[in-house]
Amino acid sequence: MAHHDSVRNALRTLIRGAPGLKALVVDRDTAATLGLVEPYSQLMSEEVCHVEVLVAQPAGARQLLHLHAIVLVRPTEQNVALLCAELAAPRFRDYQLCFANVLRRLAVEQLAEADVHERVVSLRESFLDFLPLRKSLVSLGDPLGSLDRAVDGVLALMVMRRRIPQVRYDRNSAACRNLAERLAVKFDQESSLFQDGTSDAMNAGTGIVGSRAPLLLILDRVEDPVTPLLNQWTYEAMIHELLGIQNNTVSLKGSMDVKDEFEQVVLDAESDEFFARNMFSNFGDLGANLKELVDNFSSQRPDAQGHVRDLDDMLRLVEELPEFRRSSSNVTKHVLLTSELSRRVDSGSLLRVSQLEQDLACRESEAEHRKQVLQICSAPGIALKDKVRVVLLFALRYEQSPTCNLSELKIALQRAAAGSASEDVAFVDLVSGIRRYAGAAKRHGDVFSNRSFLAKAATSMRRGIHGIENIYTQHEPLLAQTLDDLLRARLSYETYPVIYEGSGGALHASGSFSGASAQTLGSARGAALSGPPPRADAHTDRVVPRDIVVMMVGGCCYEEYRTVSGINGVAGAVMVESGHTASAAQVARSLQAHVVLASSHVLNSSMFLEQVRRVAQQ
Amino acid sequence: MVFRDRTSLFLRLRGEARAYDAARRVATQKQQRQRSALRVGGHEYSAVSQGQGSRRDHHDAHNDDFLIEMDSLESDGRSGSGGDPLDSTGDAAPEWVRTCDELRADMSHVREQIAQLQALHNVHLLPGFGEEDKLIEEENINQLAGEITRSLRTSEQKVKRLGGLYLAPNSSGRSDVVDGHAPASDDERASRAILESVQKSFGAQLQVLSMQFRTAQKEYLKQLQGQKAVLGIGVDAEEQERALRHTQTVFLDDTSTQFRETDFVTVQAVEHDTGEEYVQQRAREIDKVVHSINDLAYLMKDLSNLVEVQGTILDRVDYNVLAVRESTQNAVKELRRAERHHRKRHGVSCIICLTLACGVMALILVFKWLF
Repeated sequence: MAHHDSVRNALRTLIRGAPGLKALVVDRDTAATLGLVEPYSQLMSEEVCHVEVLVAQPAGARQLLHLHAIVLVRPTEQNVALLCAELAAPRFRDYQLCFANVLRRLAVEQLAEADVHERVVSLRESFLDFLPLRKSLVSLGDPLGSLDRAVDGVLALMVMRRRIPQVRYDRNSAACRNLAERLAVKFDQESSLFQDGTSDAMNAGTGIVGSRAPLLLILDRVEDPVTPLLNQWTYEAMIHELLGIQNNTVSLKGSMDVKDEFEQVVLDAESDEFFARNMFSNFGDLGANLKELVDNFSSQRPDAQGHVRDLDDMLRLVEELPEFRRSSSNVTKHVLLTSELSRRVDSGSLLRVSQLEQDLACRESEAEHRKQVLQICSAPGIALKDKVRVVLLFALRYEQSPTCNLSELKIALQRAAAGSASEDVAFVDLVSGIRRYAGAAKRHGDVFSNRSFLAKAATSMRRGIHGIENIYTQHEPLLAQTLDDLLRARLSYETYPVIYEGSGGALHASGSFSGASAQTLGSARGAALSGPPPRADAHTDRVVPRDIVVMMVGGCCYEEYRTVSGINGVAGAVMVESGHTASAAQVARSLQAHVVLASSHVLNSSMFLEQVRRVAQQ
Repeated sequence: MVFRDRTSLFLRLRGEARAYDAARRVATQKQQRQRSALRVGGHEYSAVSQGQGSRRDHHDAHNDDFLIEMDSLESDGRSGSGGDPLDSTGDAAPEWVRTCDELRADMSHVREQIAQLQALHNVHLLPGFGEEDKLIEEENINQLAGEITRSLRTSEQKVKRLGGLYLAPNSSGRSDVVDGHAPASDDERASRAILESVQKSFGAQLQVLSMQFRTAQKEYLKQLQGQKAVLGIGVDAEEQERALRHTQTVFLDDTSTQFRETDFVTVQAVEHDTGEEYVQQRAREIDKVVHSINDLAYLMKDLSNLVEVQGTILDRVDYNVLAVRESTQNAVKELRRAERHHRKRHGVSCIICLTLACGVMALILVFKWLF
């Protein structure tokens, strides 16, 4: 189930499979995967004494014939060409080739032909073609969101989870449909890689039966353009929003005078206990917890415990010193991060901006919002990007309202933009561009819950009755609602049709297809049929998958990852007690369901604006 | 495990590719020979081109020629990969590889011995009645502890030797901009980096082992003392001293061994002085202090080797592998830019321009004055 552990186990097996002193040859992508999963010191203890990137070697490069090479690269054409060149002039004693995804037969022939010195010992495929950022978050490291990379990455992820899933996708989105079709074909072709599972049922007692056959749900970012535009107030999401997390590392270079060792820090929930506990805590709680941590730490310092009395004390002190140094650097790291975050919050008046943003996202009140937006636009001291974001949210929400006068807002923005950097000014054009990217015409869902009178009434009633705990974290991404519907078997098959039945049976040609595509996909060879379907009474019980992978085309956010963690039962991740996340979490707990979020990359607002601009320009 | 093994396919394709290559080489060689024969003047051989390297060549009538050529070709073709690859290195690499293998074997042996020692400890600590059995057990324990100490010491010396093996112009074995001596070459730097990381990894494993050993000994001692106190038997000074001595494992330089020897002598002398109970007790306490100081010294040495990088950016593979490349690439770019700039020689061209301009102005002045 846990792909994170599968990746680590696969790597360890691979490394231990070679005898003696080893060298590891990787490419950029597999180096990133390796870096996320295995620390360098661990590699060194497994006698990997040399790690390098696969590049063209100059003629006469030094031979390292005492090392056995393990090559772990993606099966791209460039890598295969570089490997052929390497095998023609081999530098290592022998080579164990391992590719991170399916390798075409043509490439195997090329490598076989190039291996004149017969140094290759084995050739394997291991499906590590994704970045397991956290236990329930997978990224592909591909900000451009190319379709091929997505197909490869999702295939690798599914193979690591051992089961072919049922595939459902958002019918309204062409990108989702393309991805779903390509995946269906790929699953068919590579069905030998999967196990067929038994679908044992699990009764949740509310007329819902959970089945073990996994589900892959393909969603589009365009449905929910609001979540990436919002400012975040929970620790992990906030760091990504303001500083940027790249493969679980944060760069503090430009911020303030930091010592060299803290220029880049690692945020790893597994080794860093404070981070694991506070990933989802909001800024206020975080400050309190950090203060507690610092107090604990300073009370543990040796000079705080009085004088060292005798040699035994000294011995104990020295023995505890490594642990002390480790926790000291950890505390320093968090203090630095938090102080940087709070500096940015203050200097950019983010509290004020974020209050309006959350209000715009959750409440309907056009005139009031317009006034507040104009106030923000003319306020000094707020970054242009934040003003643009607020205007974009307004434009998205009230796009279809007849009194929405975007030109006035655009003028206010342009006035505010006078004298800013040119790349920021370009964002002002997005006010019109956002409609092309994610306007009401492109979305079918109700991300603001304001399309129908019923939805409006329901939201205002809920807000009135339950109240709002924290105005800065009141927004819930659309994903929460979708997953809630899915877990309660309410997700309509009309809007989210099934394209592939997975271990349950052969290809399912749903009615939304044209005849031609049904022809091409019409082969009856699905995965091997598993046991009989779960004993479900078709009239009263509904079958719901317990193992869900959500693939978000166009990028996902850490706020959505927080939602998914909340549904998975992680303590402290559910912010809104009466919202969709809480209800989904309840069902998930009774079904023992588990959700994993995958996407091509993790967005923050700057990346999202950049993405919108790129798409709008096409 | 989630691997898909395509080795068999690969080996089969490789075999076919090699056979194809060999056959093609045979055919081209034969062709060349025929051509040279023609040139020499045998026009009895009409230009029968025996197919351009097709595999079916070896079915024709020149079978025996083919066989002989095949043999000679095979010995040619294999020369690239021939023999034991290790023979062709000719530098210090095989030596330290051997050291590494020895170290690995030694450390696994020590691990077994430590496990054995712990088992013996447990047996000895069980209450029993036979005095001689207990004495025999103690002897075994001490012997085993001594062996472990010796193996750990030799392993540490081997690890130290690994670092000193790669004696480049600067003997410190570290990266050398500090010495003002540019590294000999990229390859040398790479090899030194490999040696350093090997040394670090073995050093770390050794450290873990010696910590294990020391904690096992300390635990045993404590429990022993506890037991004997309960039983009301005075702790045998000699036994305690022997056990304590074995808790100091190894030191890397010689001054400390001298230290230990003097210590040993003092204790022996004191022990032989019977009847001076008070003096004995004081001596014992001094021993304890001395041993603790030794322990402390050893731990301080540990600290100098400790690199606490777990959980930081230095422990990330991608940072180590990619950042180094990028910085060298940047360095190359900067060097090229500096070279270009230097070559342009802005200063000299300015001087020349100005001189020319002055000359021209002077000429103009002269002509003006003349006319």
